[in-house]
Amino acid sequence: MLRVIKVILCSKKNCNPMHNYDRVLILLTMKEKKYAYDGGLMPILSYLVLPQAGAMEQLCTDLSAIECCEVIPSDNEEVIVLVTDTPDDNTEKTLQKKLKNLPSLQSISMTFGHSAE
Amino acid sequence: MKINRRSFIKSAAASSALAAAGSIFPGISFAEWKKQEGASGKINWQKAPCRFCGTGCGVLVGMSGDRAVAVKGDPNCSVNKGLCCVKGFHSVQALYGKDRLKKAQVRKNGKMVEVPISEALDVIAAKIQETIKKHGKDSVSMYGSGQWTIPDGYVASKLFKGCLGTNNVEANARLCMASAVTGFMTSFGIDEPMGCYEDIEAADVMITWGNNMAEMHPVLFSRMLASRKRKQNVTIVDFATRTTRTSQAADKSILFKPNTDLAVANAICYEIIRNDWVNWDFVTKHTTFHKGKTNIGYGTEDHFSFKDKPEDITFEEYKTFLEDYTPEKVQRISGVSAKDIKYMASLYGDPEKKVTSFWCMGMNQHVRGTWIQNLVYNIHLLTGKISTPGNSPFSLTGQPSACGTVREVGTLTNRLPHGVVMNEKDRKMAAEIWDVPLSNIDPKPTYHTVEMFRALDRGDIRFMWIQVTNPMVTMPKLKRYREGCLKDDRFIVVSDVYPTPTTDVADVILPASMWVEQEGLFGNSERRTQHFDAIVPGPGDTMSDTWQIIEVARRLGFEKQFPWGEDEYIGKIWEEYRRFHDSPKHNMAPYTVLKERSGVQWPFVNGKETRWRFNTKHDPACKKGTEFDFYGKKDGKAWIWARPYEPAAESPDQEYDFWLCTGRVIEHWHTGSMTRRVPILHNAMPESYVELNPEDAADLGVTNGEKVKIISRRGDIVMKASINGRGVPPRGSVFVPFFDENYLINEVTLDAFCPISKQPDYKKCAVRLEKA
Repeated sequence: MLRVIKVILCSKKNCNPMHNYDRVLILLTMKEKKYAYDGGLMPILSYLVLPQAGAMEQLCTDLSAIECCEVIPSDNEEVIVLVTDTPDDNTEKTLQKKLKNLPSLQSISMTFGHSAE
Repeated sequence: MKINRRSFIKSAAASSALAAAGSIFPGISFAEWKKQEGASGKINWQKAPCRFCGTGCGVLVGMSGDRAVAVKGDPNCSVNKGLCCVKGFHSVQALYGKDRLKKAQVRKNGKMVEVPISEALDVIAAKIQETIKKHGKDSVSMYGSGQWTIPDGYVASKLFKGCLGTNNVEANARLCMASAVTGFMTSFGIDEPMGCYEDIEAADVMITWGNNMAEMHPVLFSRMLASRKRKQNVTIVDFATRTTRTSQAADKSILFKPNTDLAVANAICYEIIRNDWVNWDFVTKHTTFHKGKTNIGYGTEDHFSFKDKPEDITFEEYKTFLEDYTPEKVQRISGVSAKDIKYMASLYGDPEKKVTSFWCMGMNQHVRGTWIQNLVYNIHLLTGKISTPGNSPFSLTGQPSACGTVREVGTLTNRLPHGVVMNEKDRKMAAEIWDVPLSNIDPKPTYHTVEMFRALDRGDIRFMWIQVTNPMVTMPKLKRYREGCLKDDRFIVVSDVYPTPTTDVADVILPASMWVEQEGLFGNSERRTQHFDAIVPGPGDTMSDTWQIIEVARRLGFEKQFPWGEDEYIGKIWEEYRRFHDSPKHNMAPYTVLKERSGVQWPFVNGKETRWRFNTKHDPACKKGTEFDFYGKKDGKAWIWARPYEPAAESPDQEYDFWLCTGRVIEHWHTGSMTRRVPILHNAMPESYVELNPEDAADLGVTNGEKVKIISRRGDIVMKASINGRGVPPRGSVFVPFFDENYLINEVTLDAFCPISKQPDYKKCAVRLEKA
């Protein structure tokens, strides 16, 4: 059974995740929702991840080193697609913490979320 | 190619992120993605127009095997240039809701029973025959949609008007753009916008008239904001009855009292003339002045009828008429300051500025919907700001094929694919192309939508086939029309993709193909016809709405008129339909061209699309030797109308002291029957609400999320309050989105309509509020 996670977007404090209000406007629905992850089992999530200035390469390295992460870097923009596939809630929570604490990461925006029960 | 469930979900997750990245960073490339194992083979992208609104965004549907797993904006489509809104991004998920209708159902002994679809089609054909025999040809009806594909609407019109001989064909577009049609017809003598979306990038000023584009046409609004950012000197003005996201992003937000846009438009014209901002050369060569009847009623009674009586007037008479609309006088009516009225007039009047006006339901769902369109056209005509890049009065549509199917195919009671039933020449053309006797086509229109449902309630109509729409959520004054459907000896057929309140009243339910499960064509707001292939196999016994009608037509003995095979019928229907528009004014692109491209604009003449109609430089239908030719009118001149301000059908009073306005939200398409099955969209906006002004909420003692009872003379509803949410109405007004079938706000609304267009006004009725 598939169950959809309510999380839509999270970003570090004081940073505009997309740097571009005009284009982001169409995604405002996502941005303004509460960022509550409701803890399903075996979640698969995808994100757009933006590095700190000049830290694209470092962020790719950091993300690739984390278990359960697949990294698809853009080759012409400072943007990374991150797909995470965790086996359970605890691993997911640990992963979320790791992501939030990465110094090379400026912002992370969720684009997709499923959890299989 | 086989993939397991988990890798399939991961692939969809990655595709979703890639699509989002593509919309935010146009031109972004992920070469690494293609190198991943199996990735390039897993996703096969195929073009289609988006299923939802009238913008007509081109999308690429990502296929993994025979399942659609992702969507991204089509960079080759000039409409959206790779952008998508949240609905578009998640549109394919709407195909896979777990309660999808897959089997036909027929009511037997009071219960809906699953049957083979052929049996259901037999029942429908037999019921049509029986009803006509018992009650006459005008006792059967078809109610379709601006979400019908062009072939859907075409075969419906051919069967009912051409073969069965009844003009009982209407579509929900009557509820969304009929006033736009009558506005065009009365001002220009021909339907549909003269401009195109390229006006956005060419305009210096864009004014939204009662139009929350940030939520309703988000991709176009993104183009507006992008243009402002790039050019720096672009001004966006939001002229509306409540503060919305559009207001927040605009350079200036101006609020007016409901229905007084009529007065403000006249005041702008008054100022244009007073300041001599009139483009005299244009006005003298290309316009004439007229007036019509006044105090024209509201259509709230059964059998209401109205016919306007246009009279010629002089410019001086028009100028005298406008003296009632000085900015100072209109300030008292509208609540808009004289200063703001003069500001708007100065934008339109500045000869150095290119101005585009946008509108949609705010001006269409209006008891004087035709008039307000006329009045905004007046502004553009007086200043000559029309039919040139960046100068456009632009009527947007809400549904993906309201233009293509309803306006162009003519699926309204008075219309034919070319012209109207009242015109013998038009009937002759239809009879010839349809291969039916001329006498089959009745020269008298029957019922417009509201009156059609009234006729069903009264018993004048006994059979109704409803396709691709959900009137048991959308009809105003809903209770009466739902009870009408449930009366004995009424037979309702509903073709749809999910259970809805409308399938609840059905005697037969047909499981319909959805969007890219069938081949089809849509027509968007800028005269762009968009073809899509059948990309995804439909579940169970689902069948395209077009083919359902063909099957019933054949059962009724019209094999000759519906001879096509299942593998060719869309192309054949298109080429037959195209014959109706074989002239430089409306020529449509051939099927083969449409199949290749992400949409083609008509008139399509000598292999070229027409961007700006009525402008000799761009439009081959114009007479040579003149700069502009409004060829819809016999003398080639557009009409400037003297139309007064008249109040709404129902205004707040002591007993019902609030205005109620209804509308949409960005997450949900219309009644939510599809988007509420998309988990991300549903979770983002799980239920409807009532927007209150914070001070009104404080007076009521209601805080955010507390329940409020909304009461009108028709009914009442209890729902949660939203205070300082995404929209904020002014004091004395509330706003309710209509997408949620659990909160049927249309039980509260009024079925008053514009007497000329017969389009109901969903934006204005009187209610009172109680803390629940």
